[in-house]
Amino acid sequence: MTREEIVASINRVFEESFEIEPERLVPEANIFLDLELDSLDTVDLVVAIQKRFGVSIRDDERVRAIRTLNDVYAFIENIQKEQGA
Amino acid sequence: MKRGIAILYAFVFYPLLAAYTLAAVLVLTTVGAAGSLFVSRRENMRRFRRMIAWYGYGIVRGLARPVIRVVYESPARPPQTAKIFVSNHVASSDPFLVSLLPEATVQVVNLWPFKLPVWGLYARWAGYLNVRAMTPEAFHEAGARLLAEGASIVAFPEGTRAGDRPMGPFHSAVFRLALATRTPLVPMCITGNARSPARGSLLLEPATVRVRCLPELAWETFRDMSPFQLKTHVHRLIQQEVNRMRLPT
Repeated sequence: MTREEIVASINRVFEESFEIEPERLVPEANIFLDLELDSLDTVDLVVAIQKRFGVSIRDDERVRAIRTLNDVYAFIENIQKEQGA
Repeated sequence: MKRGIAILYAFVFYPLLAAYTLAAVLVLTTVGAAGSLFVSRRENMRRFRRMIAWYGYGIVRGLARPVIRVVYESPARPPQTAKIFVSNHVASSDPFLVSLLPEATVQVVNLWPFKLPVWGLYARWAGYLNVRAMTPEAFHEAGARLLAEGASIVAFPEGTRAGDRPMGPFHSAVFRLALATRTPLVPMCITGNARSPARGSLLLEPATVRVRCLPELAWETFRDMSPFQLKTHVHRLIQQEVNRMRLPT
């Protein structure tokens, strides 16, 4: 998947699972402060991303460092590169 | 002017509050200790919640009355079913305003009420839920048990007082609980007490405080929502009502 496809796919997760308006989905948006997810919501987010991308990230320590949408995009991009390597 | 009245009334209010609280502590401790010998734990917790509500009611409708006018509005609700009340959190006086509800409730609280001398013990006796000290699973289990016993729960899902600032985002734990246990939600809106008392102050500035419960949301109306969607929906309902309540009448 290209970066653009990853961005579009992750944004769709936020739109469909959390009903967040597309105009709020900017790369620098903080998922806690700007998109108003809490720690329990991030568990739902991880499940939705796993389902969408067919990856297992639940126990990945890097998930804890995610703060912005851009972090999510970069994280999934890296996961895909690692799996393709 | 308001501040002057608040300073003057502090000299009356706090000595009265101290005496009132001392009397309440004596009664609560006696009844709590005796109750633990003669009635079931569940019944003792229920009585304790009722007495804590009376204590709060005495402050809201009695001691604070000369400076704080409280207007409570609520539509008729289906009686005798456990509910989860969800409120915006304005000031440290909010937990006292909960005493206006007809139901004696279990409050979802942060760590600090449990650390208060004497009152921390009462919070435990009343079955209050210390959300910061519990895992999500433990919170869910304890909440579900209380609701199954018929106890209603009150939560301030912002987690911290907003004061004069806009409402903060909601945490989702109580909304997950409502969805999983098929419990109705009652949005509750509080305005007017941002400076009664203000954060970091003990002064009660004269104010009209309004507490308005919105119509109950039956589980069937939100069963298909995700927890995030539900918390966002309730946040919007409360925010819209708070905005209306703040309009000059």
